[in-house]
Amino acid sequence: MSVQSVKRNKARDRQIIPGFGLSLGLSLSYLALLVLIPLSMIFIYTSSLGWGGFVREISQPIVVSALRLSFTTALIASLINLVFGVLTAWVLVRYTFPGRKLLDGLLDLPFALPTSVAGITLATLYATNGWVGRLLPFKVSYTEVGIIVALILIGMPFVVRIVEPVLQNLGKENEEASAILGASRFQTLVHVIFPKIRPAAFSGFALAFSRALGEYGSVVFIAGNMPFKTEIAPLVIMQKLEAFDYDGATSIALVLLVASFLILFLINFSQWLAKRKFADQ
Amino acid sequence: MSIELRHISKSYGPYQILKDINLTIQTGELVALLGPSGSGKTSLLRVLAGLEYADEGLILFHGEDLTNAPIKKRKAGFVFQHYALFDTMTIRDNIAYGLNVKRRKDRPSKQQIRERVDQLLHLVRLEPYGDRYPSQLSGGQRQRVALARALAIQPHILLLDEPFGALDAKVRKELRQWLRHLHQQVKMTSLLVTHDQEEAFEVADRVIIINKGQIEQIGTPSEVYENPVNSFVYDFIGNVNQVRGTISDGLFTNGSFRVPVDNTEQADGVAFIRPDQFAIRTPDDIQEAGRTLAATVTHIHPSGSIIKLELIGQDEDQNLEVEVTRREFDALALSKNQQVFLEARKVKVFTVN
Ligand SMILES: Nc1ncnc2c1ncn2[C@@H]1O[C@H](COP(=O)(O)OP(=O)(O)OP(=O)(O)O)[C@@H](O)[C@H]1O
Ligand SMILES: [Mg+2]
Repeated sequence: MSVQSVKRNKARDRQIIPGFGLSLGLSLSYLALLVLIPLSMIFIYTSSLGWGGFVREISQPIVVSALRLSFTTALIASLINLVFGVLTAWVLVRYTFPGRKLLDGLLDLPFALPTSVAGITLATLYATNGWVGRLLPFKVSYTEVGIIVALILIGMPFVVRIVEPVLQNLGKENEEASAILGASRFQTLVHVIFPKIRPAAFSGFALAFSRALGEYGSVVFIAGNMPFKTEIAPLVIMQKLEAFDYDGATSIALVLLVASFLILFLINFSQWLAKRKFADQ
Repeated sequence: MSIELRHISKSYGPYQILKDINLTIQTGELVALLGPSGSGKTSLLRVLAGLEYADEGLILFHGEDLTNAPIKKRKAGFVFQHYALFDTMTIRDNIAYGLNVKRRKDRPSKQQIRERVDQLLHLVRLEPYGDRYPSQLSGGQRQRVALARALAIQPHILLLDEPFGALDAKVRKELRQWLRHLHQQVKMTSLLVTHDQEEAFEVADRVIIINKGQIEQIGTPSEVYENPVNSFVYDFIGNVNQVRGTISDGLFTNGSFRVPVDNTEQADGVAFIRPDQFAIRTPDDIQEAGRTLAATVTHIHPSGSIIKLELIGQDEDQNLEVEVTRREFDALALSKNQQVFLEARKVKVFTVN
């Protein structure tokens, strides 16, 4: 191959996206306008409070209890979603049964549904005299359990949708190889399948968690919002804003924001680690 | 460990993909299963390994009926066409997998496993690569890892499904010789699936020709090459010229080309002649006119020690291929568009039905 043609190929490689410069510029300014500037405003605003002011705001008992509630319920809900999400993805990919397509379609509903609609529906169903609430021996609405139920609902699709394609691509050969080498089904699951879906499952978990952390609409109806008991952090932000307490509101917002950032960072870092180890495929 | 299959059949829905398969593989033998794409090679191997169950028939390993035995009891090593390595594990972990998953009382110690993996890495000549991941190896190296992994559990039989199918010609050739060599060392009863007849003939003690789920012929490579039992095998094994004609009164006829046949019934027939079974004659030195076809040279491929000639017969649609040695070619001083006479040394006629 001549030198010239090599050069031409290189130039073509660089321009896979037509008008690369323009599209990059557009998407960056779009990102900046809608995401970066509003977010950095929270940082700037809180920094004007000073460290002492910030700590004062977030160490108010009502704030501490709301943050603790938000983090624990989000964690529990997304852990449950992790387990059942992987299970659901497995069932959807590996088995054919009547109604599979329907179930698959319904899974996206929590994404599409306005969260307040979800909230009202849940509150009605799980109220002490509601269809589901009546059957349960313990109270759901107006308790932490109610919050967790709402958070499970809105976080459910994340794990399923991220793990599903990975399972689809897994193919059966790896499992068959494992079986022929003498492994039991359980060993195959633990040693062969889990390591393959772990990064995806973790991403789904982290996304579900950060979504749950900030969820407002679907929770407030079922939670009952009793201070110190079932009042979540986003609700406290709302209340502070209504009382024109911008310092308090942005301080809590900052905590949630940093938590979300951390989670995003962890996802990307773990993906990067996994990629570096067993790259292409 | 010998393998015996008796009347094995299998269908997927309305499609019968294995039809009454009978075969025996002796202990320590390396047998190639050769057939075109979709002929049921993989299916047969999967039935043997226990990944799939036969609808009918018996599978005996060393006389023991394992027809419905679970995968584990068969102690088969299986090498998949696309390696199927565990890409989240290092090469060492891949090879050790079969040992690590053994029940505690059967499991060798960590030290023993390490030694065994070392041996296997040496055997497949991949010592420096133990700590890499499969994605960091070439195709040929991955295939050798797959083989080492299969051998680690000391299987009683080894099943290889087109192990070199995805590799380029040169690597294939190397690996094939290496496999032959390896087989001489470990002497394990092995069944190698391939659709490459050269590979089958070079490696195997015996070959099984399968087509549309049916066994067409079983024999040593030279038996199968010299005496194909039917037109399918003749056509499938190596290049062959086909001359159509009619059979009557114990004679196959195409124009002046006449060959005696055993068959006395009236029928259409095809004469099969291998490209190296033609002698090129000038009009003066034709010895048996009845075995001679007139043809015109259309192409000459002068590559390597064998020269390939493409010719066209007297019927415009009769394409012929002839192979001559370079020495013969030089002596004949052939050129394009030259008219020659092809005298067939060896002809095999099959009836068409
Ligand atoms: N799970 C299945 N369901 C239905 N048909 C199948 C299935 N697996 C294989 N077949 C059919 O069985 C036939 C034999 O397939 P098999 O994979 O054994 O062929 P093969 O000889 O290994 O071919 P190749 O050389 O292309 O690998 C094919 O016609 C295929 O379409
Ligand atoms: Mg196959």
